[in-house]
Amino acid sequence: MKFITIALTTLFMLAKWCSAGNEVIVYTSEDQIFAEPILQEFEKKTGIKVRAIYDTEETKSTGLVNRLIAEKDNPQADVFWSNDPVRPVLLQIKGLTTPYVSSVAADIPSIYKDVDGHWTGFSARARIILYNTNLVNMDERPLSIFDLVKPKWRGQVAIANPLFGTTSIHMAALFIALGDEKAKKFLNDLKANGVKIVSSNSEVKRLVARGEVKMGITDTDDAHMAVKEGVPAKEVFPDQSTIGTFIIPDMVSLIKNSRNQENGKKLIDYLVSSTVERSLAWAPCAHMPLRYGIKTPPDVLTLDAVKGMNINYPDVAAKLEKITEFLKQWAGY
Amino acid sequence: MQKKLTLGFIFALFVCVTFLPIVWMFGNSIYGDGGFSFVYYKDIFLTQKYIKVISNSLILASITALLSSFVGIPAGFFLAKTNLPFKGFFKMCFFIPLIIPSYTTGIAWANLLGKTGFLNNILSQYMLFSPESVSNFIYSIYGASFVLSINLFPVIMLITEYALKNLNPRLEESGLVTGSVFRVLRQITLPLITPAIISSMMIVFVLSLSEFGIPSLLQVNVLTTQIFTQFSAFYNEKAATAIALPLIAITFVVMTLEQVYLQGKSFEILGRRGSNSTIKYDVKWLSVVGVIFCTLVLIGCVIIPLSTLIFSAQTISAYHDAILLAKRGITNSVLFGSIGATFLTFMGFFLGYLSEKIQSRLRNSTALFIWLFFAVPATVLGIGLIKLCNRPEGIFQFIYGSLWIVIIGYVARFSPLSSRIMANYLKQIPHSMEEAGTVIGASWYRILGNILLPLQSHGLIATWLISFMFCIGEMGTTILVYPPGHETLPITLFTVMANSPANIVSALSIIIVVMTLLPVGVFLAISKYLIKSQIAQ
Repeated sequence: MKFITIALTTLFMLAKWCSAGNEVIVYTSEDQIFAEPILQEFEKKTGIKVRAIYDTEETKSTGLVNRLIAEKDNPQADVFWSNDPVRPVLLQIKGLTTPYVSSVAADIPSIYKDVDGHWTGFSARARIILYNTNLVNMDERPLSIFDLVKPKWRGQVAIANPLFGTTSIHMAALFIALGDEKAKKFLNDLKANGVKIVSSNSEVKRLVARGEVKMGITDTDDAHMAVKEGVPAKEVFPDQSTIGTFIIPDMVSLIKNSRNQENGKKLIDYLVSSTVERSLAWAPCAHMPLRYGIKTPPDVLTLDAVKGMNINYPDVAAKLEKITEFLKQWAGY
Repeated sequence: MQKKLTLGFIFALFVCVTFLPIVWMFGNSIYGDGGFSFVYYKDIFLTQKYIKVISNSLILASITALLSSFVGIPAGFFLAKTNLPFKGFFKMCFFIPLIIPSYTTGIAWANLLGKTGFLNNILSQYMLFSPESVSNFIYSIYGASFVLSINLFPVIMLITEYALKNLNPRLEESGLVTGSVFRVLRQITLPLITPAIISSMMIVFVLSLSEFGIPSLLQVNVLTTQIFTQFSAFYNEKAATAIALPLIAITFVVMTLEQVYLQGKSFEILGRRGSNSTIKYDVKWLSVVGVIFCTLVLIGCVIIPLSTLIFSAQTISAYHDAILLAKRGITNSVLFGSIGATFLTFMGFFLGYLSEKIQSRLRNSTALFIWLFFAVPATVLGIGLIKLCNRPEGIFQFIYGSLWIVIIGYVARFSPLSSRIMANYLKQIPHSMEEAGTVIGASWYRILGNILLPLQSHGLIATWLISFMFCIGEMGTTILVYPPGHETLPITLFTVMANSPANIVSALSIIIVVMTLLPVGVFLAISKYLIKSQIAQ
């Protein structure tokens, strides 16, 4: 009896009760090192305790979207802060989000917001070509992703697995911009040219940095971090004179039937504010603000200086569902 | 009565924690829209693609089990049976590969053997390999097996070492009087620890089957990467669960083969004296061979991956930043890992007893049942646990919102492992020992406390150590269920890995190694002291 009492007391002492006090629970796929300071700042300003769950890179664990889907009947998260514009659309389709139109986001261009308020975009990255400056001269650098199928770059290009993360979304956007036939031809030509399919965008960065390939397609945050680490690499915003570069805004959604809806709304208001856009522009991830007129560091382009692909994000989500089987075969899975 | 109640309770606990979440997932995969459908299962056994994927998984697991045993069995032997100098140092160092997250080891070897890697340069300059062929090797099924066997050989080493320590010294003593060391080794020692060796190889085989990190990094198409694709690219948990079925089928076949091989053979060798002393082969040349072997293993499996991490961490400030990031993860990991390992050892003992010592025809089926789902990937189990435990009712909310969901995850994943290790040691205790206690009228708890547990002190230590290291390294299930604020070290490492400077990530990996080795060292010291005082009594 004594043993049972001690055991039970220990169990309860070790456990921390989940109190639904003045708090908000956020699941975020934005990289922890960039998201954490923003959330801490929100805590300081509002006094609302933020309890965050961060994600790994898409290819390193099954990820938060699966957790959100599995928790649907008893949601734990109040807010989902996504670092891509398609997963929130997917959650909307699966009925996991609830509308919230933030008045703070009124000056964000409408293409980055859902009309009903299921998701709101802010601070963006872009899909770029990262090349090793020790191996590729400035004047021979590719200016278009279509240059990557040229014989001179045979076996010298890396791309992350197109089934996951921003690469999958980029592919879907290409299928919309080019049409299915042209997009398939491009991907098949790329494969015939010996493209190296690796596990993630950070692997692309690693291989370019080590000179194992001369260039790769990745995201602006990876490129900025590579340069910051002293890697001999530079980025190219591809296709500026043709289809444009694919822009990837962060997005935030309010989760349906969660416990702290009001605090969730306050967090959304904060995340989509110009303060956060400015912070993320000056952070090492170098996100591009979606609002015009926010001052950025010299090496961070603003969206008025970049020609973005003319894409509707819900269409990208729909397209991705249709082409995933093709991408699976293309990647050899 | 005591025996039946205790074993029944533990078995029921096992069914609830490990069996139900997975059965739930499989049930869900065949039920939908008001009816049953096997649509996701048809493809698996009928298409060429899946046959290739299944054979890839089998090749990966077989090569890994073989390579790990080539290193693990001799290492365990030298640690247990020779007067190896620096034994404690070697032993602690050999735990390191199991502790370093496999993904990190993979990156280290990919850097070394990649086209511009240091070892690639040496191999292509001084041997006949081209840089491409070396690079292609690491990004292949053989490269993945190589890296995985470096990670998993300590499991075989540890199980072999403690099985050798359990041997009754009288058997070897009498052999040594008349025969050479080689003969005793071949005809007495090795045959007696055969179940331990086979069991440890099987554990490594199944662990390799369920491994995702290394095949994903090195782009090897196996069942686990297919399951991951279904989860993360298609968000189709039904298809993902269906693909886990071949893993269960393979585990079933391997387990049955093991049972058939060991059937009718007796390994009851542990006497009272056997638990207290171990015969050492006091032969000088054997110690010299041991030092050479262990040094080579140390260089290949520990120093090379560890030094790339240390070299990459570069500055002291990287460690400072990493500690700041990992503060909460360190406390959580050590606490959750210790609680998890203790529960696992406790459950492992009784489940091992159920699958090895009960006098029933059901014994073999029980062992098979306990082990069956071990190869099911952590993600399937994690989603199953969410579906079972994430409910608004008070007790579920309490469990799901606290550290207990993480502990349940550990127990669900690794209780087959701990029970298998314990069963293998319990095999060595003759039934007569327990019967003697029963004859004099001792209760079952008394028999446990005075006979079985003291005789199995080595087995309990090995089980706790392996369980602790697996708990600390667990990520697949934990990342799906941990409540905010309860992140463990591997989760901190993998969430921070995205875009953090490489030196901080490397420093964090080293912190994981140190923070795992410290409790392991303390535990080993305490257990050694306890065994010594037991002998003195």
